[in-house]
Amino acid sequence: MRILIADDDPTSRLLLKAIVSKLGHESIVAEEGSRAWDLLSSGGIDVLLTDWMMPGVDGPELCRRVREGTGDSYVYIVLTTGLDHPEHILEGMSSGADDYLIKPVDSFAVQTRLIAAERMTELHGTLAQTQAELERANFDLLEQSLTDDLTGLGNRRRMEEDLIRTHARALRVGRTYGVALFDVDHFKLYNDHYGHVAGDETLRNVAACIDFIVRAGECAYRYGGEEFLLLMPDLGLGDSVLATGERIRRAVMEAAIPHAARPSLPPFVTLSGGVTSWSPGSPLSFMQVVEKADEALFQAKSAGRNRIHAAPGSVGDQIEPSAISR
Amino acid sequence: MSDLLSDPLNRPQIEFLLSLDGTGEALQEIVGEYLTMSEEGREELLRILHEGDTSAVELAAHTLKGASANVGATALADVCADIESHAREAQIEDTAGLTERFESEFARARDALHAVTVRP
Repeated sequence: MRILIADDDPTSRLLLKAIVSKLGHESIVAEEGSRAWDLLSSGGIDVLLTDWMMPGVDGPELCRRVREGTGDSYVYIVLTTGLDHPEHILEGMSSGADDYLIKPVDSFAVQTRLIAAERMTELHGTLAQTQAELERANFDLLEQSLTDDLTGLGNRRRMEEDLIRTHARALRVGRTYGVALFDVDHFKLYNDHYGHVAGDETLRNVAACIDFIVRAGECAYRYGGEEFLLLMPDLGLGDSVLATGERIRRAVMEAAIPHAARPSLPPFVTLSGGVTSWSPGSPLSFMQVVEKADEALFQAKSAGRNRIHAAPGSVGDQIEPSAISR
Repeated sequence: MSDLLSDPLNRPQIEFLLSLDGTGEALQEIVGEYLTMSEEGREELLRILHEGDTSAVELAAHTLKGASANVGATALADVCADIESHAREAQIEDTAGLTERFESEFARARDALHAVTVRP
C-alpha cells in the first residue's frame, strides 16, 4: 500500500517511515496538513497516518476534507495522538478517521492498523467496481428495453418517447418535423409462401435498408408487425419528407429481395409509405400527425402499393418522385 | 516524577528503534534528528514560558513531549506533559519548579542519547 505520513514532528515522521518500510509498504511524508492535502488530492494514497495537532490544516480538518472529497478510491485514515487526550480520538473518529494510534507508536500497533486498512481499501475497491458494473448493466437494460429485438431498430416505446420529445421541442422553439410510415407490401403472402423464419429475415433486411438511408439526427423504429416509422426531427427549407420516403422505397426495392408470391410486379419485396410533417401553428398532436401519415399510407396502398404518398400540406409534397435524385 | 538516579531512557524503546532496520541506522537518524530539534524546542519553550503565552507553551510542550517519547526519553516526556497540562489550564505563573525539572531532565536525556548515538 501507499501510505502518507502527516506529522509536524520530524522524529515521528522518521519513526513511522521506518516502521512502514519495515512492514513492506511504500510511504511519503508531509510536514504539515496543507502539504498532506495537496498530496492526497493528487490521488494514489491508500492510507493516511496523520497527527492530530499540526499547524495550519490539522488532523481532524484533514479527515473532513478527505471524506468530503469525491475521490474514487477509499483512503483509510489512522489518527495518531497522545493518550492524554481521549476527546481528540472521539473528535477524530467523528471527523472521518477509521482508527487511531497512541503515541509513541510501535510496530505492532501500526501493523494491526495496516492489516485492517488493506482489507477496507480492497473492500471499497470491490464495491466501486460492482457499482460501475451495475450502472453499466442498468444502461444496457434500458437500451434493451427501447430496442426492437428482431430488427435492432428503436421499438414502440422509444418511438413514443422520441415523438413526445420532438413534438414538445418543435412547439417550444418553432421547428418543423416529419413523420414517415412504411408498410411491407403483401407481407402476409410472403410469410405464407416462404415461412415465418424467412419473413423475420426479410424484416431484418428491410430494417437494415431503412437504417442505412436515414441521416444523422433521424431515427427509424419498428412500429409493429411489418410497419416502420421514420422520425425526421429537424426539417429545413430544402428538405422533403416525400423525397426521403422515396429514397427509402427505392433502396428496399433495389435490394431485390425475391417475393414470388405477390400478385403484381416487381417480383421483389417493396414498401408503401405515407409521409407528413408538423409545422409551427399546426393544432395537431403528435398522435394526430402519426394518424395523418397512416392515412397517406392507406392511400399509397389503395393506389397500387410500392409508392409513397404525402399528406396534404406536408413539407416538400409537391416534388415529383421522378425528379428525386439518389 | 522521576528519580534523578534512574535511567532517563526507556531502554525497550531504544531496543525497538534499533530493531527497525537491524543496522542501527534508523536509530541514529531518529535520535540525531531529535537532538537537533529538541535543542531548538527547549530554547523556544523556555523563552515563551518566560513570556507567558499559554497556547504557544502548550503546543511547544506537546511537540517536545511526543518527540521525547519517540526516542524513549520518558522522564522528559512526563515533564513536558505536565507543562502542557499546566499551560492548558492557564496555570503558568508557578513555573519555576517545572522549569527546573525540565532543565534537569532535558540534560539527562540529552547526555544519555548522545551516549546511544556514539555506541558502535
